[in-house]
Amino acid sequence: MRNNDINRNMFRIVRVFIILFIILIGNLSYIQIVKSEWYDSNPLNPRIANKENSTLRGDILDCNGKKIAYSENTGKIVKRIYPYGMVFAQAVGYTGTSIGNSGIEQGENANLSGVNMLLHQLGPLEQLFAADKGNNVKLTLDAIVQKAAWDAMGNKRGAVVVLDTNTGAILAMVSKPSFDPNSAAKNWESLRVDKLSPLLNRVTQGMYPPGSSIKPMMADAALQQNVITSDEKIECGPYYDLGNNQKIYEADNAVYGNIDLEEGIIHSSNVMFAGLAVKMGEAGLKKAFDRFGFNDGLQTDFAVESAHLPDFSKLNKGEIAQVGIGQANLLVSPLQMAMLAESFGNQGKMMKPYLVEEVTSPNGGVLQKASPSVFKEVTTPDRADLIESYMKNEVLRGTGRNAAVKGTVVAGKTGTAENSLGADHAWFIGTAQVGNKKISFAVILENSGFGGSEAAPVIKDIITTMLKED
Amino acid sequence: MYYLKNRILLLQACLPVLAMALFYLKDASAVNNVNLSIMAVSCVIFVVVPMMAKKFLKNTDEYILPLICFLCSISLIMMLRLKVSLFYAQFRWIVIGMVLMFITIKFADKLLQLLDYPYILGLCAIIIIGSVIIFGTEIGGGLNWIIIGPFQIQPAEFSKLLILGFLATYLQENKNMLNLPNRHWIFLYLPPLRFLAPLVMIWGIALLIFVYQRNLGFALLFFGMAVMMTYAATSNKSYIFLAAVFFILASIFSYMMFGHVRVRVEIWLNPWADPMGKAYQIVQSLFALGYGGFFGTGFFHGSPELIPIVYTDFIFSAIGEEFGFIGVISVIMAYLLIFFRSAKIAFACVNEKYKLLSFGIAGTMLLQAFIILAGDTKLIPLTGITLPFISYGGSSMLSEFIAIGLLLAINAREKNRA
Repeated sequence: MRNNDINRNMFRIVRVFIILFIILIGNLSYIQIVKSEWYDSNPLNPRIANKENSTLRGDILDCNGKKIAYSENTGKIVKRIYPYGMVFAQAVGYTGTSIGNSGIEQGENANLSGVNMLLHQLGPLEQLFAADKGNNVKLTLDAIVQKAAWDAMGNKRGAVVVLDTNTGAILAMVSKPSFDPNSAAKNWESLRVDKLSPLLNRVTQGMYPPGSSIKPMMADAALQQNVITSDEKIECGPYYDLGNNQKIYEADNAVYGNIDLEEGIIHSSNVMFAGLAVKMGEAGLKKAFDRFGFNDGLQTDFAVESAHLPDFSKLNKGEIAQVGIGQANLLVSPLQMAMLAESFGNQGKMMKPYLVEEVTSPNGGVLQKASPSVFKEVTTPDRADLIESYMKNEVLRGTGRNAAVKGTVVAGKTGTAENSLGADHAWFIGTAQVGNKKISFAVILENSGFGGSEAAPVIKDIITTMLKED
Repeated sequence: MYYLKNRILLLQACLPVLAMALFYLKDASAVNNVNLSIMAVSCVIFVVVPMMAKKFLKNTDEYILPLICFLCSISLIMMLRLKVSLFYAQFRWIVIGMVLMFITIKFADKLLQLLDYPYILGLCAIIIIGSVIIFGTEIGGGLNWIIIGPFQIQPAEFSKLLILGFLATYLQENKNMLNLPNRHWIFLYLPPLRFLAPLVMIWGIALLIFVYQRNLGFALLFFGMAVMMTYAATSNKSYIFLAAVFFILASIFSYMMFGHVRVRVEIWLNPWADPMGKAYQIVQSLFALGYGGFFGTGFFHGSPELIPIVYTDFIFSAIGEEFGFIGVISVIMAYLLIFFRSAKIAFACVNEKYKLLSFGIAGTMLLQAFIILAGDTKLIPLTGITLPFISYGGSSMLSEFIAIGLLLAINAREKNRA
């Protein structure tokens, strides 16, 4: 054992230390570089939220620049104020440290909070670019239309959505019952467990049987699949016989006799559409729903629940007939029904719906601007025009008479959907020319009866208000 | 070139100045006359102390002290950032530590004579560590402190040096005996038990006491220290094997026997099982490091205050959040450079006792840094132990400065003898 033996041993120990520190630095770079974003976005990490709270949140504006939500620094605390209260609640959403975000407040959080994670990667340089106020988000919603829809619905539960037919911009998105986002944090516990689900955005996430409002699509499918032509007449008796003592009756036990497809839509004949559905068969129905985009997950600037379609291959004859009149395990959102109506009013083009018109920086620079796009071409321009003309006539002299507004043309289809929860849901979908704008819409009022008598007047009110304001 | 080489090591003195400028921009209220004067004084100290040491000790290493001053200036800046009251206290400890370092250098000859009485050193170490059981106070879930008047003393920090002294002498004197392979058992070559007994005794007692005191960091440190020095002295790998077996058995034993050990291990294995409760600290530490990313958030723009008692065990995570990967790599590099320079001293020693002692001092400091850094980054279970020269803590600061004083004195002594 000599001195240089000890030196040799010490060298070996130094080597072990070097290996230990290489492992340490490797692990550190994994944490700080590779996994950095994962840690940042972890919901248990309060850092991003703290940072968001240190900047004043941007405004949310309607399409005319009216403030729907803004933040105010009242000395110590920053308050988020929603001047319209309950009217925009589900679409615009709420925000709060304890309750998180929803709606646009959630979807546009990165813009509103002004916290840009890309900028964060710059390290200390971020401080040079960081703003003390978030960006402003201008929506497509029009406070006048929204308020008109809100008022027209009265105290009923349900949803109204109004689209710009040519662009897909959403002009109104009302869901009732509603809540006041100004006091959402305070009433959070009771809102969360409320059986009437005020927090649910019924326009995008309410799931309802469409009832007769699905018939325009069925008519288009029947024409496309050549099970009927536009001038062919069908004998419609008092009921459609499914065998085994199962029958489908007309809504008010009427008998329409020998009628064509147009009359079938105008009077909303169950007998005719049950028969057409059976003729198309399960494969034909599936093709129709696929063609109209019910199966394509819609991705846009807000969350949308997809339709719940039955498993077509397992349907029996009775269920196929039920699908023809919008029943039997078929559930859709009001937004999807408005898009369906839109496609007939827009030459067969279904536009991608959107809520965010533009994002501007606090000093007015436009950071982001919406560009309308076609979601899907669902039918031919000819058939779209034809079906729309049927729907116009339904409003002129059929079940949709209550939606007629003097001085303008309204096209519509009523629906009265049976459901397991009580009285029928009242539907009305369609399109209308209002000034220089063409709108599409869907209305549903839960458990309130006939579409023609309950839902159609809501649209009449909205259009009347819009014309007055125009 | 020589001029530049020597001056560049004084750059650490600029750090406090820069920090004060940033403080002024961010939070002018933190910049008052007292803080400003302390920072100014520390700038002067960080320049003057390395120069004084060079004058005081002919031919001693001229890189170690500037690097330590760099770590101390990081410490001061972070204290001012995290908790102003600790800033004053830490400044005081640094000054006292430096004075103690010079006293150690002055009386190094006398102190090194103590190495002739290894068993007394070992006994003193055991008594000091054990005294905590009788006089100690529990702070932060560990029974590691003795409170005398206004001071809290962590005796383990000081016993570190005594144990190092014992090990250096004992191993140097007995290394031939320890290497007499008169027992051959399977593949192990072991000396008669009576040669091994004192080593195992001191070592085992220290470990047991630390586990009992819930001071797992020191248990690990002492263990590593003993293994390191035994191997350096004897080059007998049988000891490493024995130590590994002993370590595994001791780990299993303490895992079964002590709830606090079990909790530490469970937090380490799966912090996400209870991220807001037991594992809160380590989870927040990881968040801080991750949020800092490569460049850091910038001084003052992170949220290190989210980590409870960040200024001792987790100061590294605070540095990682605000100065990023770049910042923590600089700190790690400073430790490695100090270690390499200190190891160089050990390599140059002719006297084997001094060689072992200086290597022990160097290795222990780096091992201590590794244990807490690896704990902060969840590489190993977290054990509360200070980060040398950076964490807040008087005992740690003083004992480290004494050790450095001893190291520099040995260096000068050996060089001047040759």
